[in-house]
Parts: sequence; C-alpha cells; structure tokens
Amino acid sequence: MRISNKILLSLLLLLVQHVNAQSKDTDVDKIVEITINPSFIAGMKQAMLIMVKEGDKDALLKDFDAVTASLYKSIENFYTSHYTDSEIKEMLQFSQTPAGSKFARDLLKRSSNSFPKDNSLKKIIDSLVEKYKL
Amino acid sequence: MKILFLLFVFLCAGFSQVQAQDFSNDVDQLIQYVGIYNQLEVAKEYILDKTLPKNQAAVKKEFEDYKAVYIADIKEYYLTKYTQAEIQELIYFYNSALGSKIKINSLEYEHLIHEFMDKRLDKYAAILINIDKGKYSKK
Repeated sequence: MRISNKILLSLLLLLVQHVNAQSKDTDVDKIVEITINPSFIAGMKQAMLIMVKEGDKDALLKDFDAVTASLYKSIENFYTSHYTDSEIKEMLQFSQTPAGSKFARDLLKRSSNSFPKDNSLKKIIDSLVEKYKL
Repeated sequence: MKILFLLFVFLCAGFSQVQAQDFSNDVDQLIQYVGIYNQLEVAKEYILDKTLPKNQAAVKKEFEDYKAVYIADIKEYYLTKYTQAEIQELIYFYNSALGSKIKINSLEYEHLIHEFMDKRLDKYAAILINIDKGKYSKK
C-alpha cells in the first residue's frame, strides 16, 4: 500500500470515529431531552432574561447556560456510563413507538413531579418536611 | 332458547370480569417494573434526612399511608389512559435484556433525578439572587 493510501485510510478511519462519536452525542442528547423537562428550563431562562437590562443579557445567558450544561452533564454521564451506544439507540427507538412515546411523556411528567397528578408527590414531601423539619 | 341466551350473557359477563382482572394484574406488574417504588424510597430517604429523629416514626407512618394513595392514583391513571395492549407492550419491553438492565439501574436513576431536581432549584435560585443583588443590571 502506498503511503498516500495509508494516510487516506487513516483519515477515513478518523472521520468514521468522529461521525460515530457525534451520533452517540446526538442520541445521548435526545435521551437527556426525554428524561428531563427542557421546556421548564427554557421558560426559566426567558423569565430571567426579562428581568435584566439589554447590556447584561449576554452575561446572564453565559451563567445560565453554564448551570444548565452542568445539570445536563450528570444525566448524560448516567446514560453513557450505564448503557452502550446500541442500548441508547434501542431506548430511542422504543420511545418512538406509539406506546413508548406515550410512556416517555408520562416519565417526563413523573420526573418533573406532575404525574399522575400535578405535584402530588412533591406536595406530600414538602408538607411532611414542613411538619417535622429539623 | 331463553336458557341459552341467559347462559351466553352469563359467560360474557364472566369473560369481561376475567379480562378486567388481567388488565389490573398487568398494571400492577408494570408499576413494579417502572421504578415507582424506588422513587418513593428516594423521597422517603430525603424526608427522613430533613426531619428530627424523634419524629421519624411518625414520618414513616404518614409516608406509608400516602404511598398507598400514590400507587392507587398511578394504577388508576394507567387503567384509564392506556389500553391493555399498550401496557403489555411496555411489560414486554421491560422483560427484554435492555428493560431488565433499566430495572436494575432504576434506584440509581431515581436518586439521580431527585438530585437533579434539587440542584436545579438551588442553582437557578442562585442566579436569581445574583440578579437581585445587582450582578446584572435590573430593568
């Protein structure tokens, strides 16, 4: 094999690895999005942006996005350390079936305390802590 | 003829009763699989951590009473919002190799979600405090 072919092959392998790594990130991102409630975070961001003057919005956005990224990272780490790429793909495939998507929506509600009723578990946690707090 | 008709009605009623019981059992099984009990365990640990030791027996008692209500609400939700076929599809998924792994990791997942919600409140509240303190100029 000529040297130029070897270089070309190496580049191709690097490209494939890069594409695979990117596709995993995308799948993990999708799983994170269906695990937590991104609309809550988006709403919070908008509400905070309204409170500050135009000139400071970029600084606020930077801090807000850094906090959000650190929160997302913990969920990402859980999936990447416990599941393989193909298992993450399988989860996503299941979440796109009719029963799976319905179930995924409810799991999302559960993780934001609005399942099966609004704030049902959170209310009892807060009331017990308030009643018997340290 | 009349007797045959009555027998038919009786058999139909018996059949639908058996089906309803099957559906109820399926939902019970799904509730076992999806980590609801682990979610409640994590919530209980959190409450106990924040309450006085002398009150812990009372907390446990009240929480156990609530647990039954919460599970009943979830069961009612699945029975009314899902078909039996959908519930069986979910059970089938949880019985697969991946589903079994999800069940094993469920307690850790529930801890993670609880921690996420807790941290989320604290971290965003810290930004709000900074807005209030004037780190970013207020409108």
